[in-house]
Amino acid sequence: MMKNKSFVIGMVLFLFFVIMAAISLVWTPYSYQEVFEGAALLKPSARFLLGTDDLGRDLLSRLMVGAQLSLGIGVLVGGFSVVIGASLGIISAYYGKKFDQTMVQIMSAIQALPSLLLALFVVAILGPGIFNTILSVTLVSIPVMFRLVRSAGLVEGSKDYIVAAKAVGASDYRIIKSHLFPNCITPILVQSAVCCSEAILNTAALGFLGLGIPAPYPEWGTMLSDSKNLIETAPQLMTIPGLCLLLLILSTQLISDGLRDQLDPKLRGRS
Amino acid sequence: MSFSIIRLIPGDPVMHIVGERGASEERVKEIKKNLGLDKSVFEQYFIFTKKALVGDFGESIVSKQPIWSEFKVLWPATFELSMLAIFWSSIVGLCLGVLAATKRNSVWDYGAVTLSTIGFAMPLFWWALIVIFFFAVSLGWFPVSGRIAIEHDVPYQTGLFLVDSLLAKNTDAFLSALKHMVLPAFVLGTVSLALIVRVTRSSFIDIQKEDYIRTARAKGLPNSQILFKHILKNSLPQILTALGLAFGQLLTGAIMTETIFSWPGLGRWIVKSIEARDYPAVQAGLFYSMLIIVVINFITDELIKIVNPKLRDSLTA
Repeated sequence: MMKNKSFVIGMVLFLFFVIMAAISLVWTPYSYQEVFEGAALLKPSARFLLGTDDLGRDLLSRLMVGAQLSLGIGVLVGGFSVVIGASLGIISAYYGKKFDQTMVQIMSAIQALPSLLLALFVVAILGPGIFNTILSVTLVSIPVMFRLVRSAGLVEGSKDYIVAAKAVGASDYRIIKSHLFPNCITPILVQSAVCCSEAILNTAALGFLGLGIPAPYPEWGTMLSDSKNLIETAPQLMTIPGLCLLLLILSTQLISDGLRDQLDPKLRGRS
Repeated sequence: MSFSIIRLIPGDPVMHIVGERGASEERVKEIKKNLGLDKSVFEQYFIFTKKALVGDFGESIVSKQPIWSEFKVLWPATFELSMLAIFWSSIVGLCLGVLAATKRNSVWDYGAVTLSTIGFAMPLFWWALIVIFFFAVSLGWFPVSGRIAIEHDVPYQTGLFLVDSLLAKNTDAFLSALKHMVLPAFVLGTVSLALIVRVTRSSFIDIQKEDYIRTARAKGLPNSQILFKHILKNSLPQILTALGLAFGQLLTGAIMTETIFSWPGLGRWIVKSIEARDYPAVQAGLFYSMLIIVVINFITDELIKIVNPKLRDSLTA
């Protein structure tokens, strides 16, 4: 595992943001909400390491708290997609028949639209907010996970050892838990990292369009959107949150690439 | 083995279309879901459901006359932009992908892989801001927003400003329209570029390992002939599938790009109508987006059938 270059680079980047978010839980240079009078749009200095935004708030503090949000949502959505998408996929593959058909129909209905567009519609209907953002981003991440796990489950489910387990009289729950699930773990792990990165990207995109996590939370996408009109006067407001976003998404993608290369021996040697 | 893989790949878009041919079902499902989610606008949604049902019989578009006429003006803008984006990204993407695959482990290869990895991770809206910062604000080469400078008055014919201005033989207007389009098209094409580079590279690498390529080399065919006649031809289905996918992404990308560049197209219209809580427009936007995706998938499938005769039976069956 440690020899896989993309996994290691991804992990290092990811840990950097985890540490950043963890530190921000206990300490930030200033409060992310604190407005300093007459200190708007300052250039980076010793007092404000990365400068201040148009309201006079410390960029570094906001960036650190923003890491909490992006990471938290990414990991949460990755987790939800495993819990909901993967378990539905396995159950669907195992039981088949009506349940399977209905699930496939529902999932392809969700997938009929590009994910961001659907998330946008969902948020537009429910109204912006942290909870609704997580809900919409989770919703769009489930179908891909479902499909992958279902097809993996279908392949595994037809193998002899499952038939044998059934013949021995193992319960459905036991077969799913101790046979199917462990054997489908590779696509689940890889896809959960992908879901995480898509969730971060979609959350930021929603924020950028003004439909994400509302103020005063310093979500990176919203920060970018606020910096849109200040490109000339304070470019660091635009470059730094965007760079953080890019690196965080890159790290999760590298992790998923690394996981896939490492866990799937068939793909080893290709890139 | 590779035969079965190639057979399997286009299976997915087909299923997509089959799933969507019953658009009435899915739309109703979608709307039902919305119904369950939001009770406060229940009645409004009930009306839309009825309209949508009518729409599926082909009459709703007439009853939603204003939205349709709005759509008619907007879609050429998005179409023009997307076409330019996909045009440059597929050409550059193909060249880079081929270069990377033929010179494996060279600078080109690593460059292409890095580029496509970063391209995938790049938040489009940030990329747009960076591009604006460098090319529009710092260098001042290109305008930041709009489709054409305001002083040009081009008679409306196709709605595609590039075509219209050429038809009117107005060179200044053509240049102005082109200048306005360079940045958004560049940004919009980046995502598809990443995808196309990656797919081209990996399919070329796969096919290079095939027996018939070795046979061709053993026969002493010149490299260029092997590259274009054998490898390119056989990797076209995969590349076309990727192109179809890229088109789907363009729709999402267009939302971002058009919002940032104030491009008066479908994407910005959707965002605007969402912001204004203009539900009929949002509904229509949803419907049109699905329609566009279905059409794109259909075209991709037809194209794949043309370039790969092996798949003709399996797709029609």
